Amino acid sequence: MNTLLATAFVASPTMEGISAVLDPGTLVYLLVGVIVGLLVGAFPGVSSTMAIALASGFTFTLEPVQGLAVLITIYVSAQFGDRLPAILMNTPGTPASISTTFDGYPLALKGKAGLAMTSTALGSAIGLFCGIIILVVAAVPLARFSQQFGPPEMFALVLFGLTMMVGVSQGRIIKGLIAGIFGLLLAVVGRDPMSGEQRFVFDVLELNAGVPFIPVIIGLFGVAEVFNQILIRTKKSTPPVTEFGTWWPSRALAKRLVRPVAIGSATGSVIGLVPAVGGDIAGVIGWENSRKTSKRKDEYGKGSVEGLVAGDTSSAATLGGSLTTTMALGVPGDSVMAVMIGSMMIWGLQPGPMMFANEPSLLASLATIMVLATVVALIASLLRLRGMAKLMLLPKPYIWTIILIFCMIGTYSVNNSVFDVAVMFVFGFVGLFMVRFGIPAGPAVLGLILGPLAEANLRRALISGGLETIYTSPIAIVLILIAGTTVVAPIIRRSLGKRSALTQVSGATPTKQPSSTV
Amino acid sequence: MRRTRTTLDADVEVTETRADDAVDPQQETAPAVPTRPYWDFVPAGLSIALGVAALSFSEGLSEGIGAVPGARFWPSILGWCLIGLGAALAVTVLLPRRVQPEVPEAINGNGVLRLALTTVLLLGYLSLWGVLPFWMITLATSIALMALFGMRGWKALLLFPAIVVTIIQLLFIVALRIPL
Repeated sequence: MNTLLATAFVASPTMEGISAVLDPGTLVYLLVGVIVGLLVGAFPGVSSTMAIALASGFTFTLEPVQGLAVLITIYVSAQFGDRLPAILMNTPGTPASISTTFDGYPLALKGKAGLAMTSTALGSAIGLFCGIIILVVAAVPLARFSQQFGPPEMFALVLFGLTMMVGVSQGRIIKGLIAGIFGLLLAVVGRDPMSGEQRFVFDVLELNAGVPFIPVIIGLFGVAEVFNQILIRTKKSTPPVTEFGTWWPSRALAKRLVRPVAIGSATGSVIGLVPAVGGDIAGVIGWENSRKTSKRKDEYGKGSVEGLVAGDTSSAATLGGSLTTTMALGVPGDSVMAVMIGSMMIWGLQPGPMMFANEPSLLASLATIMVLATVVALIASLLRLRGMAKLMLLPKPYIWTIILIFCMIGTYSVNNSVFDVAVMFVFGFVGLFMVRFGIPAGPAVLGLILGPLAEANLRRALISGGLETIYTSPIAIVLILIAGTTVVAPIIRRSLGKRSALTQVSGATPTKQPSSTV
Repeated sequence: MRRTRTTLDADVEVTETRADDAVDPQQETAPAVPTRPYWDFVPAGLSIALGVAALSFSEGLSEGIGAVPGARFWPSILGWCLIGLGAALAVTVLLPRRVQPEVPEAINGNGVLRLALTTVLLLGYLSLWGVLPFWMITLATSIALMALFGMRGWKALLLFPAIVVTIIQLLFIVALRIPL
């Protein structure tokens, strides 16, 4: 009996998924992902989205699990690496570490950079593990629930995903909507999904298959950001603090950190499940939630380890939830996940309700990748990466040269197509325009990826029973109502003169803009 | 205690900060960005233009039969949405603002020239793919880019490009077998 059970377990999709990750080849890719992720986080101006967009060009030849090991590990490790410049230079490595600067840099100036780095690494690891639990527990039930969705519900879901991404574009709702519609319009190029008729192809043969999304992603997130940095006047940069002080929290402090870690984990886990709300917002809200309940409110923003840990735990905890909605619903949890969906489609994986049914071992693979990535990145962070502080002094031209050349070759290597490189350049300038005029690029990528799904489902719904099929479906109505509220509520709130929750938070906190907001 | 020094990149001014510097978190909150009230007319106009273009290009597409929407249906909706949103954005420019918009950092005159030269350089690099040995043009482009970005010295102009070329050769040509 025991032998039978053991055999069944070994042959189960869970074991299959775990062993696919534990394959030595995959582990090597995972290690590469950790190194790249830590470096990406440590260099201000290189965001996780940009790195994952760039890595998409290299991972297309890999097996799906190996490719996911690289991309997810970069994302996880960047959660550790980006704390470093936030603490030592007061510059968030990625937007997810905005809250780290509130207390991290003041701690570093007090000679407690080592303590800040250890505490934030431990908090981030705990947050990530909470997110992994959310992924394991919620992904399959959520996917099963969404399997009931027909064309009206699927259309409403896509609309919901798009508006959620637009809704969190603080103060830029109209611009976010324009970006989203622009993305949807780009997705129109090529063949009509129902009739196969050519649309907006303009006799360019390569456009018959549609606008290639990897060059668009690399252009919008990689090339555009570098172009913008080349264009702007170089600001004063603060060199990293080099006095690290003690590294480990005392027992009394460790006891005190339990509460902010719990608050941060809970906040981030819930926020992560909301499509399109990223770690940057979760970090600030987690910091504020912890401040409100703390007995030492006055210390927040002036070098509080509790505040530092609460924000970072919350920010890291969003990853699991974000991955859950991305994989189970096909609606990206944030801009990084939008890019990841693009890569997964190249491997033949279609995130959405049927993904875990078609690939039952994938959930175990995802969870194992995240666990291993968290553990390895945590160990690397605890090795007291003094050398990383020196790397942060590397002048930007080195980074620009590497990114530009790698963007070109990476884009070319996807289809061995010079046309793709030209598309990448065009979207580099489109992205530059968007950066200069404050238009978020995330909704455009989301629109491009979700466009065919939105159009096909809307038209199928209309064919099968007209608009009635949409407004008589309770699920579709709920999703559309939430989507509508997301867009309209901030406008109404602003017109009533009330400040939004985040504005209240930022009003009470020392704010710091990331050097890169993509 | 603060003092400044100049690094290899002539544009970068580095401020040295010591741990005994006092920090006032409120200093970080002060937004030091100018406002550009009519700047948003540009994306508004472009959105309207794009919407009009989408509508006009949709004219030649099939309309569909009866209740069955054709290929024109979706791009037409998107075209009208872009026009509507562009108009809405233009209206918001004229309305009094409660929240000041985020303004990106100012463009540097040298930056425009640097970007133009970078683009020319990269397009030249692309046009030579398949014409000259790949390692050679990558090495030359890396050196030219580093020089253009203000870097000087053998480490920046020789060692670094050599490392970049080696990595690219190993990763793309040896490992991934990309025909470059």
